[in-house]
Amino acid sequence: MAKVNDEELMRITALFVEDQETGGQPRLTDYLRRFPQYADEIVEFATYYYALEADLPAPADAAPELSSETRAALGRARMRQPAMSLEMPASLLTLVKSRYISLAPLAAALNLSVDLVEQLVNLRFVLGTLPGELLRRLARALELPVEVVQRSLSAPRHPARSRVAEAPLAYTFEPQQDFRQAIAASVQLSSAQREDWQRILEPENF
Amino acid sequence: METVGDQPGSVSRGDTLLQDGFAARRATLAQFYHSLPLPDSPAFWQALAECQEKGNPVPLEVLVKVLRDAVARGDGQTEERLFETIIARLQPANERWVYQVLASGQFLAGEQRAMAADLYADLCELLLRLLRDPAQRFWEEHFQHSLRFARKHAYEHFLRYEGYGLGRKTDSNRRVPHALLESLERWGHGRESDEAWEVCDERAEDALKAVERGEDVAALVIGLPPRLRTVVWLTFWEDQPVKVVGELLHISDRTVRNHLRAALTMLREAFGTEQGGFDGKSE
Repeated sequence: MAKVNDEELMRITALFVEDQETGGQPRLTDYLRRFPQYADEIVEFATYYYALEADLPAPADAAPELSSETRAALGRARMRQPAMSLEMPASLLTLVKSRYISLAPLAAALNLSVDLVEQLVNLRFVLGTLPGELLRRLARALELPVEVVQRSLSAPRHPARSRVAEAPLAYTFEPQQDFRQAIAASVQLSSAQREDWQRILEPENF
Repeated sequence: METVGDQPGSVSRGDTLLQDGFAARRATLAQFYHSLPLPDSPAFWQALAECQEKGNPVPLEVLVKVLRDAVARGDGQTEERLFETIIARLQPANERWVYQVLASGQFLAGEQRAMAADLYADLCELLLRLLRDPAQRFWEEHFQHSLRFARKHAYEHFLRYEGYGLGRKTDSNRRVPHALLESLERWGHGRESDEAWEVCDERAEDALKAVERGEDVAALVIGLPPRLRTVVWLTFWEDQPVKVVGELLHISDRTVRNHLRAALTMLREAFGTEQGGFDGKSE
């Protein structure tokens, strides 16, 4: 499966939204016929748009006073920014988000199942059990140097969020898994994918 | 590729607009950008105010370009002020979006208030990073649509982080109306033989009316895996025969039907049904 051209997908869906908002009543069927390579991505965006974006107001022409909620959100966002500095590398999840890649196309690019990719971006694997081939595939999929990807996998995992209401149980990190064991245990991975990764893992003596 | 035109089943805008339409937009934005004074001067902020007073506010795409210039120069003060200006203009929409996400029914009522702060902070963090990144070029061309994608990603990340979505935590007080699920299932059974589904009684007609809005269907299917979502949308909402759906997605008719059954199973398991049976009055 080809890597999604994010900018092209955004242009296509922008046309769809423009059609919708000018009363054109676009049909997804027509867009899928025109752009079959993006079928799932177009529908994924369109259903999100209809569910959560269609009724939102356009940006204001003037900049109003920031509300207390916005100030609080900005303050928290700024506190997280050190993750982008050289001292603290961006996490893999941060890199994936910045590339506008959803889990499904990333999984296809890596020849992994979505459940494993979800664990990967949430740093649930023991770093030493990840094969070099995985890092190379990730680097290609994200169009980043391998070194950047490697650093992202060793970025600190985010602590649990603080909540206004105290939860009865303390938040803890989930223990990390061995990648080879996860490959063997995944129910979403196809047999061909499993064999592919077991072949890769063999020479690297994982 | 030529524009297809207003033929049945055709796209109303052709591939040429993928290039030409956006090129015209870029030219207009570039003109605006070059007309502004240097951003590290008081004249720049005065020009912003004057444009707004004249009813021709500086486009957000241009503000992003100016912000990135400030980042490249290391001008933190201008960068900060520009970012706040942009966020302020987005404030009504973003706050409403946070409210809509949390009101979409997937979240436990007792946690919504706390989650609102988390979700909004996630969105601001993402915007802070994307607006500063010159590799994210589309923000300088179509800010509003880039913002939609950013919000979508913040929403999906938030669901995964909080463990929500089909098959995980759901709000027991929020039910998909039984009538809505029944209407999907009735439709699905009818389409297996590719015969038109005729409304034969008042209750079925009520169920049909319950899904007249695309927004309702979208809210229902948004938690499904992408391929199931596609099949449900095309077969149910856009009324495409199984054969056409299979051709569009390069899958067999049997696979289309299997996907529909799997989608209905997931929806039933995730949302359950209301008490009181299929009378359309339980909600």
